Parts: sequence; C-alpha cells; structure tokens
Amino acid sequence: MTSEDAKTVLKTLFEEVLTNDKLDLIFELYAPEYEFIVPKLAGMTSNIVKGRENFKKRVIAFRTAFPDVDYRIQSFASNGEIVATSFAFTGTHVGEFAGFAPTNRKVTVTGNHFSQLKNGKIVKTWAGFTNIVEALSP
Amino acid sequence: MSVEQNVAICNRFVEEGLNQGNILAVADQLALPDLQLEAPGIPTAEGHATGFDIFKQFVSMFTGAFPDLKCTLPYTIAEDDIVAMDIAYSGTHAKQFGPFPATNNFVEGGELWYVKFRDGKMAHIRICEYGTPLAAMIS
Repeated sequence: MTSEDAKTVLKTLFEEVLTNDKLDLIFELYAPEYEFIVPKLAGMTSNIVKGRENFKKRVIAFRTAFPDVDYRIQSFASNGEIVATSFAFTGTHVGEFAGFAPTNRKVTVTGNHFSQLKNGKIVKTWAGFTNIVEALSP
Repeated sequence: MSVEQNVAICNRFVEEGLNQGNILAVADQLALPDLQLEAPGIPTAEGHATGFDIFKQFVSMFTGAFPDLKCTLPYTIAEDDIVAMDIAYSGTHAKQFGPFPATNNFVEGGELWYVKFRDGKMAHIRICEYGTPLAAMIS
C-alpha cells in the first residue's frame, strides 16, 4: 500500500465515519481483528477496544456525548504501513464522556493518532488527546 | 534539511535527552528557541514561559524523577518536515515528579510525539499519552 493510499483510508475515517457518522464504513475500513488502545481516562475500566462492533459502540458513545462533533485532520505522515495523524475535534459536550459530566460547552480538543494497516485495512490504532482533561473539566 | 536529518535529531533526543538525562546540555541543538509545545498539563500561554523553557524543564524533571528511565522508539514515521514517534518508556519513580512524591513504582507507558521541523530543529511538538496515563501509575 502506498503512503497516499494509507492516508486516504484515514481521511475517510475522520471525515466520513467520525464526522459524517457513516458507521457502516467501519466494516470496510477496519479488519475484523481490529484493536484500539485508547487513553485510559477516569471512569474507564479498560483501555483496549477489540473488534469492529465494539469500536462502533465507542463511536456511537462518543457521538452521544458530542452530537455535533467535527473532526479535522491537521497533518499526517505515513510510510505505507503506519499513518500518524495530528487532529482536532470540535463539539458540544452534552453527554457524559470518560468520567466527565456534560459541561454543555463547545470545546476543541487536539490529539495524535497512529493507525497500522495491513492489506488495506486498519488493524491497530493507538491514540491520545492533548488537552481533554482541561477542556472537559468543570 | 532532509527527512533523515530530522529523524537523527529525534533519535538524539531520545538517546541523549531522555536515556542519558542530558536534555539541558543538548536542547538548543535539537529544538528552536521559539518552540511551540502542546502536551497534557503543560501551559503554553504567552507570558508564562516559552515552550522551549517548558520543554527543557519538563524533560529534565522527568529524567530526574526516573533515574533508570529507558525509552525506545517502536515506530518512527517521517515525511517532509514531520517526524511522528511512538516513544515507549519504562523506569522507576524514585524521586518527586511534579506534584507526585516518589512511589518507587516501576512504570511502563507510551507517548505519541508529533514533531514539525524548521531549519533542522524541532519547531512544534504535540505530545499525547496513550494507554494508562503516567499520573495514574504514580498516584
């Protein structure tokens, strides 16, 4: 897979799945054995999400907390196997998320996101936020 | 500067700045004075301190609190003026680290660093933790 092809997969994820809520694309973009190492924030019992269905549940939970979420890729780099993405999302925090009670504030949170691809599909993601504690604290 | 030279700067940072604990001696060879730094809990507001000063202070505080710190780079992705690193760390929390008194806990964790270069030095660093945050392992 070329670097540009790999970036296209991540562009589709951020724009179509995470922002435009096209959840069925999860099954096109991700491998069945997908594993997501997420930031273990307060209130979370596990920091690993396994499988596409569980990832879909996480995306739904995230959208419930931030219904107007809008993800933007700020920059990315790739070697064809890994895509490193620098991103920001903006959304109104109306539901509980990772231990943070809703603030009803419109927040912008930045982060880094690494995805590993095999045979054109994402098999592993590890990612974190830069300022989510500051953004969602009362 | 080439992609390879930017990667070499990052490798020096990990080896000399983190593993050898020499960030104060080498920081000005690795990063620009007007470095922009984004990281959890690190203020970057104008008037507080420049990102470069915070960078030096934070790294030296980290290496001082974990004297046996060992960092590796499982993944380094470099393209144009970007170097993105997965920095895996392990070490013993032997001394005070910020608000956290020494626990002597042995910790293992990871950070994603997204670095933009200008003129052969780090110009912008965004840091995120993944997995269990360090604070949760030492509090």
